[in-house]
Amino acid sequence: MFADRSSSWALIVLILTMALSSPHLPAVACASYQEKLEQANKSLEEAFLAVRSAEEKGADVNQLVQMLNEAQSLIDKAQQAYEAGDAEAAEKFLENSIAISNEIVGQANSLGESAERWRQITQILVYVTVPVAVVAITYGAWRLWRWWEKRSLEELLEKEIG
Amino acid sequence: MSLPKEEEVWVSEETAVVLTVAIAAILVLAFVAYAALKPPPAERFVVIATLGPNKMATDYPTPDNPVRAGEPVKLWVELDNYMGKAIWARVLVKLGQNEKVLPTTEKPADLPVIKEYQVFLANEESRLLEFNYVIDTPGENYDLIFELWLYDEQSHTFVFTGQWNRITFSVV
Repeated sequence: MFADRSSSWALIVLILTMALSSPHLPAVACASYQEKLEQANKSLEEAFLAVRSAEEKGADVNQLVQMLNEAQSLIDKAQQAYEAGDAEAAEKFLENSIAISNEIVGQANSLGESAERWRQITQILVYVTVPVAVVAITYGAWRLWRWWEKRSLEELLEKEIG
Repeated sequence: MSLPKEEEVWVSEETAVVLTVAIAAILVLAFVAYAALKPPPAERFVVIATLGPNKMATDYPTPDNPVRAGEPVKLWVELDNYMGKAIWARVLVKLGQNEKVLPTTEKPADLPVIKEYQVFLANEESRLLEFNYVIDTPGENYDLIFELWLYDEQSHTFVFTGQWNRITFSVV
């Protein structure tokens, strides 16, 4: 019975050792890294497009551009770590890069919305201000004209009476 | 039945003045409003420049100022963005020797890429990228080509801008 148990343990240990030393394991890590790298690049592209969209709506995107560079530098670091054989660190860098890219998308959308709202308010203000200003200027000119005409008439009358 | 008198046909002097002022005010304010809402587009361009090891346009490696084999070639690449928007730039560094076919404004160099940079620049932002590369084999007429590519939002790919710099030098 003990012999059976010890042989079972030996078999398990053997299987585990074979699995861990399998040439397929780095390939699995590689596939996981490549997938994450692809995902990080895709997230970065989405983040950039979100920033451009916010910028077109009139948002100030300088801060977001710095964040994009941060996400890009993490991808660069991941590639360096992977080339140095540290797949775990590489994947961690990529995860952080993806998180930053996602944050950029959220912030860009919010900035874009508020910039668009502000632009609409400015447009409405301009459209309202122009007719009001036209009426005010015209009314002012008319009043000035009337005053000047009245003054001219008074001067004329004074001359004639005098 | 008689024709209306001249005074009845023409508007009064007062009305004419008011109308003139109103039209002038409309024209001036409409122009001001248009200018405020749609500022004139500025000239748009992006620049790539290669600087020497001291971040100045001097002390470049040349055939007369060779680089030692095994020691790094040190340069800086400057990017200036005046595109009126944020850009995603890619600088491809290519190395050749005795190259006769250089890139044109349409076609990038058909040489191996030894280094790649990707950087985001806000509008009117400049950035310096550090370049270090070691060449172990002595030789003459090494060419370092720095090509500028930009991300195109329509095609979702990087497109060669037609801008490139070349540094020719020897390795001893």
